[in-house]
Amino acid sequence: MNLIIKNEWDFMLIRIFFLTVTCFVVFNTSLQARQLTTNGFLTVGAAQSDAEASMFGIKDELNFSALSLVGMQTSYQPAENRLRFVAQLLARGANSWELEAEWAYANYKITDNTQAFLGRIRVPFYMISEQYDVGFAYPWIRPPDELYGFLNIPFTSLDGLSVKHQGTIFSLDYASQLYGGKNNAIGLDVAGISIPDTGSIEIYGVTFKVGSELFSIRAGHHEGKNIVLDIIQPIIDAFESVGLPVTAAVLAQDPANILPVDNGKANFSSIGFTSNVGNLFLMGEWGERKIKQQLPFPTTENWFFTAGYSFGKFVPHITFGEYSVDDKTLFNQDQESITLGFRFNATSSTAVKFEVADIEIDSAANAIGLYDSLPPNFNGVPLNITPLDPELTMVRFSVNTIF
Amino acid sequence: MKLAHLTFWSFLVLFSGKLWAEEFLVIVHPDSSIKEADADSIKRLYLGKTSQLLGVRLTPADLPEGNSVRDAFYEKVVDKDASQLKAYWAQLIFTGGGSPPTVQNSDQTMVQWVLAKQNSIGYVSSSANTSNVKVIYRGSQ
Repeated sequence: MNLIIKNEWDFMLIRIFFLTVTCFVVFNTSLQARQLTTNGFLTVGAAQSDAEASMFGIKDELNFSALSLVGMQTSYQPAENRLRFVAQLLARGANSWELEAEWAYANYKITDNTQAFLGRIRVPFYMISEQYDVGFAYPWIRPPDELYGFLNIPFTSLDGLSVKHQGTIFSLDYASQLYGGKNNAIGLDVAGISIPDTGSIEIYGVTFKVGSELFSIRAGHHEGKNIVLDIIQPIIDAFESVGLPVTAAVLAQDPANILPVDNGKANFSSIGFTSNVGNLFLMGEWGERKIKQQLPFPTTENWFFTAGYSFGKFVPHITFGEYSVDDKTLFNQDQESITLGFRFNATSSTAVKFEVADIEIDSAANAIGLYDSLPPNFNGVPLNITPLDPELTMVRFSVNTIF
Repeated sequence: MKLAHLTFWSFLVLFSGKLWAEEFLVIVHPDSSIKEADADSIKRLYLGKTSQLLGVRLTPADLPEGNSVRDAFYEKVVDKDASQLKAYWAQLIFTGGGSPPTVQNSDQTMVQWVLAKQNSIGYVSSSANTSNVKVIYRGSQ
C-alpha cells in the first residue's frame, strides 16, 4: 500500500492535530488512557461487471481497489470537560491509497443537547453522506450510486463550522444541523478526465431529522456558491487539453451557456426516510441537484428505495435506484438499477456482503448513464472511446470490519 | 409417543437460549432521587439519545463485550444484538455523533463505580451483591 499525503492543506491539518495532541499529552499530567481513543474501519472489496467500459471504476475484469478502503480515527478529550479533538484519516483504493484527512475538528459541547464542530467535517448532503465510507454501518456494500455516486457530488468534506442540536419532542427524537464552510481543493474526475484542482467552493446548509426507530424522516437543503466559476472552466480546459471538441460544440450551440459567471449557485435538496418494523427495514431517499449555470452540469433528480429483512445474522435486501437529468444534450446520464444483495454478520464487528446489480442506461445514442466515459459522439462529432453497453450486470463482494 | 418426545426436546433446544438467559439488575447510587425506571428511558440513555434519566443527568457504563449479562441487557432493554449495537455506534463514532458508554470489567467493579460516582448508572447480574446500591430495574425473561 502506497500512502501519499494528498495536498499541503491535508498535511497541515494532520500535523496540527498531532501537535495539539502531543501538547496536551505533555502538559496534562492527569492524562488517562481512555482520554485518547483510536477507532478504525476497513473494507476489502472485489467487483466486476460484464461491460467493457468502466462505471465507478469497475469493468469486465476483477477489481480489488474500487471498493476497498481503510480509515483511522483518533479522538482526544482533555479531562472530562466539554472539548474534544477528532481526526479521521482515510485511504481509498479508488484513490491510489492516498491519505486524506476526511474529518479533523474540535468539538465543543455547548449544552447537553447542542454541540459545535470547528474544522474539517463531512458535508451532510444526504442521509448517509457522513458515514458513506463506514461500510459496517449500513446494509449495502456502499450507499446507492444513483444518489451517493461521485458524479452527483464531486466533493465530500468542507473546512468550516457546524452546529448540531438534538432533543425530544412529543416523545419523538429530532436532530438538526446548521453548517457552512469552504472546500479548498477539489480533485474532480469527469468523464474519465481528471482535473486535479478546481479551486474553492463555499457551501452552507441545514438538515433536520425527526421520528423514532419505527419511522423517521430526514430533509436537507444545501447551497453552494462560486461553483460555476471555479469548476466549469477547469473542466473545459481539461477537455481541450486532451483534444476533445466539446467546448467548440457547446459554444456553437449556445455561446451564452459556457461563459463563467460570478456567484454561480448550486442547490441540493433531499428528503429521505427510514423505517424498522420488527425485522423488516425500509429506506428511501429522493434528491435534486440544480446548478444555475447549467452546462456542463444539468439539473439531476435521483432516488433510491431499499427493503430488507433480518433473519438473525443473515440480512437480504433489494434496492431500486434511478438517476435522471433534465437536459440530455451534453451528458445524458439517465440510469436505472435493481440490486439484490445480502449482509451476513460473521462476528459482532465483521460483516460479509454480496450484491448483484442490474444497471440499465437510457437507449438514446448519446446516453452515458453513470459510466466513467464520454458519449460515443457529440453533435455528430465522434469521440473515440470504448462502446457503452446499454445494460450491464455488476457483481460486488466485500468484507467490512470495525475496530 | 416418540414424536411427542421429539417435539418436546426440539422445543426445549430451540428455546433454551431464552430459558437460560441471564437475569440482570440496573443500578444507581443509593442517594439518587430515582426510585424506578422503565426500559425505554434506560434504552434512550444507553443509546446516547439523551444524557438524562427521568430528569437526572447520568453517566452510563457497560460490562465488557461478550459478557452474557451485557448481551441479556441489550436484548431485553435496547432490543439490539451485539452486531446491531456495533453498527449503531459505528454510525455515530465516525461522524462526530458521540461514543458508547465506558466499560467496567465485572459486576464487582460496576457496583464500586456506581457507589463512587453519584451520577452513574450500570447493570449487573442478579447474583451480584447490590445491597449498597439502588436497584431501579429488574430484567428477567
